[in-house]
Amino acid sequence: MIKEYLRINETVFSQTLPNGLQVVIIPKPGYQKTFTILTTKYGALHNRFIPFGETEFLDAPLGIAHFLEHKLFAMPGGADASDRFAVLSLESNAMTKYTTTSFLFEGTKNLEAGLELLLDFVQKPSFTKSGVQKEQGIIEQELKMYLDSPSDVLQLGLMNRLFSRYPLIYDIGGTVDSIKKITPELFKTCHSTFYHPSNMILTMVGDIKNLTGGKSDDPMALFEYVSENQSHKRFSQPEPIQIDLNFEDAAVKETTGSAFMDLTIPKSAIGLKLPYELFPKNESMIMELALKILLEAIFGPSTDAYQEMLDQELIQGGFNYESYHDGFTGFIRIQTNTRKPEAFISFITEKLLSLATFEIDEETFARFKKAVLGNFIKSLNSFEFLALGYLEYGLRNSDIFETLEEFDKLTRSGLKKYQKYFVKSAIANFTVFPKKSQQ
Amino acid sequence: MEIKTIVCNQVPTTLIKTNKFKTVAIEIVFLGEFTKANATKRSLLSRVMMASTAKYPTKKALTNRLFELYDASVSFYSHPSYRTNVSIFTMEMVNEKYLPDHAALTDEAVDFLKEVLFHPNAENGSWNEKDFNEQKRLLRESIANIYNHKSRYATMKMIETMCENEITRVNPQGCLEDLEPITPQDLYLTYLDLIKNENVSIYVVGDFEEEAMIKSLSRLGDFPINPKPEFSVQIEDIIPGAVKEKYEIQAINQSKLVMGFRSQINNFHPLHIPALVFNMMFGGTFSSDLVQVIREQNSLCYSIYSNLAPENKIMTINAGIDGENYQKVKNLIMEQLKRYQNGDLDMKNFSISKDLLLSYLSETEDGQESLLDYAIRNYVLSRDLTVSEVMRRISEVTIEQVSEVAKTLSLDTIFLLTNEAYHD
Repeated sequence: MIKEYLRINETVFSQTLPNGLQVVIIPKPGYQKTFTILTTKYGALHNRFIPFGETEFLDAPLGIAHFLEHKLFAMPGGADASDRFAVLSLESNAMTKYTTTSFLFEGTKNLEAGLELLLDFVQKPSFTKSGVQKEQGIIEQELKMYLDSPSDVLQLGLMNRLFSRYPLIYDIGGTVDSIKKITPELFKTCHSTFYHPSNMILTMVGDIKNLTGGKSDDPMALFEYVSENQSHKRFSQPEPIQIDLNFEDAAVKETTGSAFMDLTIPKSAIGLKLPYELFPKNESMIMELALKILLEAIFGPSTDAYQEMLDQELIQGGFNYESYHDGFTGFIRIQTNTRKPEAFISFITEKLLSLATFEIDEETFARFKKAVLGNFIKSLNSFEFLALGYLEYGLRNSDIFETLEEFDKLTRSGLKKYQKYFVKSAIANFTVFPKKSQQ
Repeated sequence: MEIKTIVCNQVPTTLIKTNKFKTVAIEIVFLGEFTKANATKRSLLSRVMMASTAKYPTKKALTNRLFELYDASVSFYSHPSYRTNVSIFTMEMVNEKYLPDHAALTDEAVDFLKEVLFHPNAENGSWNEKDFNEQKRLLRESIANIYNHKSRYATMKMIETMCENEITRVNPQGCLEDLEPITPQDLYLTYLDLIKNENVSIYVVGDFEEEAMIKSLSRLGDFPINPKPEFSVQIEDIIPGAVKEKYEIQAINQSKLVMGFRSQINNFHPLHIPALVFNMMFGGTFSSDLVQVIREQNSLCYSIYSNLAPENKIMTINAGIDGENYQKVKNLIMEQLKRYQNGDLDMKNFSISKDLLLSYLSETEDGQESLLDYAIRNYVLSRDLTVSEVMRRISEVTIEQVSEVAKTLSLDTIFLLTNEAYHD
């Protein structure tokens, strides 16, 4: 399938191979650099599922998707995939999110060999007991690093007030204890369940000539190359994966909470829980852009409210707001460093509630739409944003480029349906307070 | 891509024409002296100049104007290159051809940049008091906030110990003791010093018509012609005596180890290019020896890396570890360095590192920021080194040269940020 988006001068080629693997190519002629990413729709959210070929639900140890991401780099025979990429002058990386796990490489040459390596190390794993133990020490240090990060502690604290059991309440990496319960057998179970090609997407951004090692500038040649690699691997027939995401109702678990860390200044966050909702095509992205407009309109830097927060010294830097939606549910988060956490929380809470009946004027609305559009076009300079944006919005049933054009049609009254989210029962807050050192 | 250097508004102007980006960026670079006396003032100036102008006297007015320009962004960022202060004003806007009505943005964006540069929110030689106080408070908080980023804090403490009486010690963000006495009048003088006395150059990158761009830039008016400061790299070598070891206890989960080394290689040293290869091999990539030995073979950390600052002739190593493993990690790091100094090097790592460096460099033209950074860096260092020349020199680096680089390194200071449980 070929889709051309004339206004922003991008073209997307996509094809689903016989084994179910979806392949997406975004050509960028004239560039040296490339970005290739292989993603499975498996992340820290998917911890309770029926393993492939079984009938009962399994509760996997927290952090297993992330641990598996680390572990896949250890290839059969003791080789390490990162090393193998480096030998090809390619830089590799991987990331586990709540909804996905991705493996990627970037570089300018040996790209065909890199692609083959990527597909092979992710699809042909080797799990040994000693390898698992060795990696535990490394992940333990990664988790401890997050425990000292105020933003991470704040985020997790807030999620645990908004949600009672939805897996956003857990750190993606799990805990120092949970990762010790992970075994090679559990890895095999998760891999065979979630790394089936039909659950995966391969995305490539770059000059086709470069990606094909100079052989062709036709994207079809790349599809064929991937197809050839896949034809040598045997996969079982795809089966729908049964996952229990532990959905819950729209009310928050607790309205407030706090923690203490070795800090100089408190850090507060207010969260609003977005209700469970499946959106029609492109609407989840429209919602995100609409929320951007509403939040900017109520306390963004372009408002009097923002100046009021500065005048009353409610914010001390680090003020930001964002929304997150995973295709089912999500949250809005507003945070800052503040010496007046209570006053900040009540100021923002009141503003959020006022959004339920807020009416934006036509002029402001038009100006904000320009800003949102410009901001989006600016981010398209990044290959990573192109690849991940197309992929992640795609997983939420939104075509990033199509939506950008549909966004033009958004009217003030179109905001109304999102304003119903702003109710008291959906709001909670969390603050990290300073606990001074012994010294 | 087409690069042209001409004179616009009386100053050197580099026009980089390429259709790779969806945005156009204009940068105005001011070069002056970086000193302890002006660092904090400069840091505060960069905040107040971004907060408001005469025509847009509030954050609200300023932000709304930028929104009207399709979220054009303007930023003012300052960093030292040894004793040269590099201040960069950047205007980034969406290329008009991607906008629904092909709205003419360039002139309006340039006018906005002009407003920010030449019409500050000041009167009678004094900065607007309300804005001044607000930004002073925010900078005070921001300086204090370094404590809350443990890795950055540990690095700052290490540098403060190692470079106690050197310019390298001065934090470009500023410090509290210098911040308090600054007045709105002082700050206005700092502004005048920047605008009137510093050396100016202009850079533009994007898809534009040359003539039209020159005409748009002319709206900024003439800049003063001032000489360029010539102290952008450290010349003298510092040979450390006994290693300084310092620690601090905080209530944290993971200890931060920072080691500071003196090198004898600045950007003009014959071993400058081999030093880049050395850093990649030693602790600059996943295949590097520090990552392989400390992380992969011994599972002692998640993050470890080395970093070279040739302008200051310094190398730092950062690692997040358990405090109880401090001696072990330190010894392993020093053993690795010893290996390099003895010429016991891995040819595979050597060729991987060179190839990766070459690959990074070949991507320079693919990024707006990397193109601008490279051009500005050349100007600051008064050199005319093309990317392809750097690549040629990298491919000629020998493994013996890498060992020579290692021999110039000597450990000066260790700083460990740790917790009570692990300190003996």
